[in-house]
Amino acid sequence: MITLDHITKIFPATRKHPPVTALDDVSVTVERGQVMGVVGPSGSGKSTLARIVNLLERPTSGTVVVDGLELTALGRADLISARRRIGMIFQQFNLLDSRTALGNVELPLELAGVGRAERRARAAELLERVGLADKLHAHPAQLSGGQRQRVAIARALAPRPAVLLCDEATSALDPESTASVLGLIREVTDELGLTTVLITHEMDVVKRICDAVTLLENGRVVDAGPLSDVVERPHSPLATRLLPPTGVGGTTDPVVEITVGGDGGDTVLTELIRRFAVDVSVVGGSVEHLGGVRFGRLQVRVDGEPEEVRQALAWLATRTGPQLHVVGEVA
Amino acid sequence: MTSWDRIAPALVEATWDTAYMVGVSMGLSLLLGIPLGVLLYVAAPDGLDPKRVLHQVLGAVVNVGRSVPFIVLLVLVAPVTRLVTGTTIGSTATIVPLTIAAVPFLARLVEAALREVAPGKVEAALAMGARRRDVVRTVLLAEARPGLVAAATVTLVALISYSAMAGAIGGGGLGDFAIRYGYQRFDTAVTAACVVVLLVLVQLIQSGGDRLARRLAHR
Repeated sequence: MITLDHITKIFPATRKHPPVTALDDVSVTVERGQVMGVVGPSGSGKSTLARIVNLLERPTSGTVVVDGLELTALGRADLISARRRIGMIFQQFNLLDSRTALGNVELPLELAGVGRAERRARAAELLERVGLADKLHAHPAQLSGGQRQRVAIARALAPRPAVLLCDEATSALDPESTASVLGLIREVTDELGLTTVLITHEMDVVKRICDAVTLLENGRVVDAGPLSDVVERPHSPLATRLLPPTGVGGTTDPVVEITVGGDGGDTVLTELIRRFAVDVSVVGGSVEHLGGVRFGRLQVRVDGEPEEVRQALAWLATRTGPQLHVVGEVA
Repeated sequence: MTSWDRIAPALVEATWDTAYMVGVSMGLSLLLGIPLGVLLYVAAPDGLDPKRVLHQVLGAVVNVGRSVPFIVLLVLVAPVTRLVTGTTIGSTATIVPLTIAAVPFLARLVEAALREVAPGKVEAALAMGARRRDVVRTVLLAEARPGLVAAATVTLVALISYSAMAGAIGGGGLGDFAIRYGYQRFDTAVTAACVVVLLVLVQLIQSGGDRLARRLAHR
């Protein structure tokens, strides 16, 4: 649905700064219907990446294809109509203070030449959908941050886009509003079959609603993949951020770290106890919900006859493959 | 003694003269100053449609217009005034230098008001497929309305003060009245009366402008 191919963006030098390479040969593909999280520390180029998708920022090199249309090859007029298929919301909402909620949602329809009655009806319907049926005539100043972002979402959805870009959409919100706005983004993505790109610096946001994730650092893709794949590579850059190591150390017992959950991986521990005459105790761990799927990273100590323990660990290795990681040494 | 029954009608007439000069030149200034301000904003290096040369030329013209003291400008543009109105004295003639002085003044204020609009709003409009002229109309001018009203208010007050200065070289209006009836006849009471009228005018305009700006602000 969205293909960014070998994108490089260099901001030219100014009097104060040398040239800055914001994105360095970045390729990202987002499948239709997915929520793709783009994470990274500030200055990693993730906001530039979002702005490249609708060409608010033109890449120095590389191509942008959205919904089969190569945006980087379009002229100004075609780009303007292509942008109407790409909704965008922002950290600072960027609503017009001079318009009511209704007027704000009508704006993109007005720009597209939709008649007054039709756009009014559509705007009202969308504001109802985002839970603001009673705020149609409120000005942004009279709304809370969460409500403003809901208006912005309604505005982005008004021209029936295929893609929704969220640039740090929840970074200015309190935890409660963050949760509800993220929920709304997930809902509308599924309801309307959108393809959503979510720029954030918070791993928690990724955990809650993303299907796939791309980690940027210094303008480069450091790690990427569907969420379920990424966490099964325990020491990948993304996995360590999504499921932080639990940090049990200083033991000489055979402590192993395993990732459970996902597709039927829940039964590893019970099977281990049934098959081998060993005691298993959980000494640490964490459980996270990633994109609606539960994952646990557990650190377990395996006690028993040395030979039995050795066999148990060997079995664990075959059973869980790369998810197994021996932390301590076998005594 | 000041003979108020003779002076008062003349004072009223002078006030109307001032209102006429200031009103017409304000109208012309809005007509020319707002587009010029928009152009300054749009053509700026970080504007919607950067045009280096155009921006520098416009900037230079505006700066020249703003740096010539009004009393000098009056004399300087006299040939233009004569060309346009056929004379260089009287209220109608004064409209020409007043407008020439107010347009660059207002244009700079308009530019500043547009700069106050958060760039994110412009970006949001572009992201939803707005053309540049849409951005100017639906985002910039709409969002800057309170600032534009404030700019117009300041310009109007400046025009009143300029128009009084024009009285010194036969421009008509309250300034002319104060000089002829007050200064030249050594009648301080008349001068004071003019000051009171000017004070009330400015006060009314400023508070009216402030109120309108507040109403438009929606904050």
